[in-house]
Amino acid sequence: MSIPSQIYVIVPCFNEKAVLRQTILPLIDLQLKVIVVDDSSTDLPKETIEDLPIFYLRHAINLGQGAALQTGMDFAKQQDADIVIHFDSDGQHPAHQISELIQPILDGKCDVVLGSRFLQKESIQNIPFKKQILLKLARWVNGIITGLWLSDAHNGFRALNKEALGKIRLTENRMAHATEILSLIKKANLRVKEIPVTISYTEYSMQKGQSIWNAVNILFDLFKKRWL
Amino acid sequence: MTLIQLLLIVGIILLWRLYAKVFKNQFLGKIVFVLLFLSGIVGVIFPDLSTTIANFLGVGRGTDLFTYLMALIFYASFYFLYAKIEQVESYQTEIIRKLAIRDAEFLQKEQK
Repeated sequence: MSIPSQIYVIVPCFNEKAVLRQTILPLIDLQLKVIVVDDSSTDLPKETIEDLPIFYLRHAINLGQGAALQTGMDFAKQQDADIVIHFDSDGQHPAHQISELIQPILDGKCDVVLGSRFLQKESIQNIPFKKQILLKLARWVNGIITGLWLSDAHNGFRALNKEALGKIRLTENRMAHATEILSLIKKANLRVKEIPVTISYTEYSMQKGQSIWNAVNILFDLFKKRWL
Repeated sequence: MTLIQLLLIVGIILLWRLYAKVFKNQFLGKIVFVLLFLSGIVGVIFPDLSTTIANFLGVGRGTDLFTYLMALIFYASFYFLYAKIEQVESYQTEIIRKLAIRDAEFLQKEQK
């Protein structure tokens, strides 16, 4: 795969030491530039990645995933990035699908590409049933709040071109950023495309991932943002 | 003047000093609290006045009117404090972000 040089993968991480290294290695193999934003992890993940050719940024206090992504994007802008990719540190996102993710941007067909779990039968079967129901609900909430109707709720696997990078500025520090980014896309009139991706649900990621109850927190953040 | 009236007036004056500090730089906040302060003092000295006003507004007793107003003031204060905390949080985020970017490092120590 031939990839232009100014592609940065932002990997926000919070206490993911156990899997961080194996998440990053395939990205380096793809010759992508990696920005790890350590959101003040207490498990000192830097030790495990010190020998890798990556950028390492650390928040002095824990701010949340949204804040970490924005820090990564600010840094990428400074580095004159052409494309940035959001990539989870827990190993859920498929590194081998990055080339498909950025292809529509390279073709100049859109500004933002989002990974979707619901465009392919195999990837749907991959999702635990409880999660499927939650995602369907979240998809509706997103559609109603942002006006952007997608096939999936957010899974965090996205690519943004330079224009999108300039226009999107996340202010939701915690998990509500994933919906915020959709409304920013809509407001800035950016061209969006969804591509099918397969997200892996390992025991590790299920344990660390968003619980159903956390959805209530996210809803509150969104409600607050819009009406308070 | 009864003892309770005296105690309430002293309390209001003490509170006034606190609010004056909180709203040091906000013109509207100051106006609101001058009004609250004055009406508090007047209400303590002429307790029947509150009932007259309450009746005029369609509320039975002055105490009830007071309760409703307190609830409103409580929610308003909560809202303003919440907004303030949000604002401070966003400043904090900017500072932490700037520091993180300033101190960004490229890893890969003597390997190969």
